[in-house]
Amino acid sequence: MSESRRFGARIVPRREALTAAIDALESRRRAVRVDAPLREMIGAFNLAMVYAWLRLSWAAALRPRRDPVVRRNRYDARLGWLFVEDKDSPYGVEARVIPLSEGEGPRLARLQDLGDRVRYRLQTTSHVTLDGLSDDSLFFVILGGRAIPLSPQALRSVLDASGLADSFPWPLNVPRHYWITRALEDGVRLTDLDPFLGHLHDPLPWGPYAARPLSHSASSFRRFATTILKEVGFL
Amino acid sequence: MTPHSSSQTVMLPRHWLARAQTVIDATCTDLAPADAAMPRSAFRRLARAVRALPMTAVRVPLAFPPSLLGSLTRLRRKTGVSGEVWEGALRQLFAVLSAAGLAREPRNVDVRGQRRSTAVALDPEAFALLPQLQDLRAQLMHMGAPSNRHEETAVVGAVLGSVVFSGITIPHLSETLVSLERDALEVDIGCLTLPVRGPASCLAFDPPCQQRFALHPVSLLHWGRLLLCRPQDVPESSAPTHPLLPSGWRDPKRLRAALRRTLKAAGFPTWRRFLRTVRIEMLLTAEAPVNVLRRAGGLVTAAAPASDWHRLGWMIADPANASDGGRRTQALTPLDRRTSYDRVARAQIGRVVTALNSDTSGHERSQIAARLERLLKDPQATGPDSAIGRSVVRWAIYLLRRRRYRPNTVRTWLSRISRALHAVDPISSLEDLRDPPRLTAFIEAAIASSAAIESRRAMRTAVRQYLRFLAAQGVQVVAIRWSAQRFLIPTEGRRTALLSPGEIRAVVEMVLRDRADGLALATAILLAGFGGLRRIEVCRLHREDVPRDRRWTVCVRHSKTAAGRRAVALGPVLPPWALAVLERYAAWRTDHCGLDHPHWLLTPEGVPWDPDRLATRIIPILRRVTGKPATFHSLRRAAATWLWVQSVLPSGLELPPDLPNRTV
Repeated sequence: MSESRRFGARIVPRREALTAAIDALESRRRAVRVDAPLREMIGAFNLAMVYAWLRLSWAAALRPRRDPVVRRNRYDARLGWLFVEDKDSPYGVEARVIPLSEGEGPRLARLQDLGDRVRYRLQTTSHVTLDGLSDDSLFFVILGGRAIPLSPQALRSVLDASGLADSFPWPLNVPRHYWITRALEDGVRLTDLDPFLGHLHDPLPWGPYAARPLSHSASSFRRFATTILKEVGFL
Repeated sequence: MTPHSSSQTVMLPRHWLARAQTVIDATCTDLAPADAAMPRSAFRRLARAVRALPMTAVRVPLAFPPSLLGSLTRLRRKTGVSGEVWEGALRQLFAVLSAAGLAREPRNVDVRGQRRSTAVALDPEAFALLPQLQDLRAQLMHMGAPSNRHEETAVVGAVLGSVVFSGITIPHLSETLVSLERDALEVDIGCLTLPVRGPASCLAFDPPCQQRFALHPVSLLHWGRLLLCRPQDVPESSAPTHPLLPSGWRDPKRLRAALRRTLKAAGFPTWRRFLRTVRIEMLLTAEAPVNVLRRAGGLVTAAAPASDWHRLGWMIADPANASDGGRRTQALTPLDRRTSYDRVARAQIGRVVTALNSDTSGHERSQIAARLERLLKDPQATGPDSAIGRSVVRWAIYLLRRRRYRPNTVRTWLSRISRALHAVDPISSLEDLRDPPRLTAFIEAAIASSAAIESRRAMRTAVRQYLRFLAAQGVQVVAIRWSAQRFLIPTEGRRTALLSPGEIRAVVEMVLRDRADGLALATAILLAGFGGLRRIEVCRLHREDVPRDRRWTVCVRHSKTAAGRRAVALGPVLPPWALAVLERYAAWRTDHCGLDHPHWLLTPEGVPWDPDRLATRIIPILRRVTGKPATFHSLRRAAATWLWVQSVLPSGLELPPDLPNRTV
């Protein structure tokens, strides 16, 4: 394979480094009080968003993407599914659904609720501009007096500002590499994981003549996601 | 309009749209209506996309950014035309707008289809409506009691219930339902037969292509409520048709409007989006994509209802406990209780059990079956009125019409299932058969209702055969793992029934004292006890099956199983005294009955032995002589056991007495 055909970074962080980074992030995290002084609230909120995004990216092996891939109403907390369109192009779209491990759906619902309250606070009692933020943004941070969607660049900025950049030296797509590596080590069937990771090839599990319910492979995906979250220190 | 530069102006999107609309209208007036339809459709979609642009002003000429163009080219599937036609329409639209100076013609209008076909369109807007669907489901679950006879509520509930609970998402459901006859709905087995293609179907025009869909119990309740609402609406018997929906609801527009109102209130903008949401939810829960596609009318399969019913069956989620993620069966309503195994069915089965005995001829069995069938078919007759009762009567008819089920078997099975349904914790309706815990509890209780091992085994067999019959008839029955520990019958009681050759000899000597039929009974015992023949095989031996050759070969041609058809060489396994008895009987058979009757084993009256009667005569003697709980089948087991012992016995150990020498 030529160099130009390589996608992503082939880095799989060591587990100790991962848990140390997550621990460091956890230790900096504070409860977000919407009625706190603005500066304090923004700091806590940004870290909470970064934490939530990192956690979700490890729970669902998401691709980091310039545009926010996870939006409001693109997850179902009751059924535990996430709807993702991370391979959109002007001429087509490759949508997929990803099972959420237990507890992740309600966590996203709480995050959305927090985001709504923060937006209200920002609109009513601050000069922070929200014009760069669409209504369906779920993950956003406040940087430089503007609320912006949480892009990889914004995430790095928050980590820098919190002094955590050194703890996360790896690219943001490492969860995907870690997933595959651990799946190979543990003997987890890659055919069960692959479609949910976005490696779509026929026959799709949601193809027209697929006779196997998604719930079968989804349950093994959820189990594995829980294992990964435990390993890296989120659970 | 605000001048922006020499070549570009800025205007509000609605002004741009008004001007573009004028240009398109002018273009389309010169075209035939059919040719104008596609540019108009393309423009409508473009207008929708422009309105959705996150900007308050557009620059003219409008450039089509990828986001705008992508949303147009991706719409091909919704338009229902080929990619080529749609691409042509878009190119025409852009050319016209460009000529009018309103837009820049994009360089590349490449309409590409969805990369891969899927059973369900993964539509983010439809996905976002999943919580609304959950609310609608809860609303339908509690949409009034049967006493709520508001017609619109009942009609809308029935249609939406069919979609939400049963997952029937064929696009033109409302149009289909308004033209449906009442017999398309089979309430007793919960089935709805629908034409899945329109009349212009190229697959099947005449007869129309139909598919049967299993209905979820809640959806069935809604249909039942609708039927209850309209007893006054029942047309006279002379009416040519009996529509499923009430007479006022045969107008598709009215039905669509009512559905639209309800869906709007529930948060669904369109019927199509609603169907997509249901399909997505089915995909994400337990349905296989192919089944979702089938229920969306995208796949036509054979009309057998069983093909539509998956193994686990429908479960009713209790919304009160939905938060804990568990799924449980809804408590039975008093209506369900009334539909349990009824008195009429029990009385009919009782009559069958009483009428059947070993002397019942095939003709008499047919007559009993015909009488039961009349009872089921004649609406005037006071037949069983519950689905369970009717199913048992149908099973009785089935058993009576198949001669391979002997009267004893039919009697045993029917009496057992009748007792189980009546006395044991009863299953109330056919829906209970779809509920694994409920059915399992019923089977356990039925087996536990008998104390004796044999009775418990008979009960287990009867229930198993009954469920197998129901499943073959298309009733949805959950798969039961009969080898599970809870259904196993202890086998301790059987070990003591092994008969030794000496005991068999003692029994033979005992029956020989009876001068009337002793010799025939002794022959049957020897055939079973040394040849391993079943009683049905003994009774169905014909003269030509016993040629009395040197090895005393007996040809078993009529057996319980195909593998049972065999030739048994009795000579090597019979001790001399047993051989003598057989010779005596053979001589008697030749002398007294001659060639009149084809059967070999005959009663003193010259008629063939009935297997049940034979067992009834022999079993008491077996038990009295041996003191063991032996049955006729114990003789067959003894033969197999001792043959095996002879083959594996180590040298130096003695065989039991009365066994022939292996070297013979």
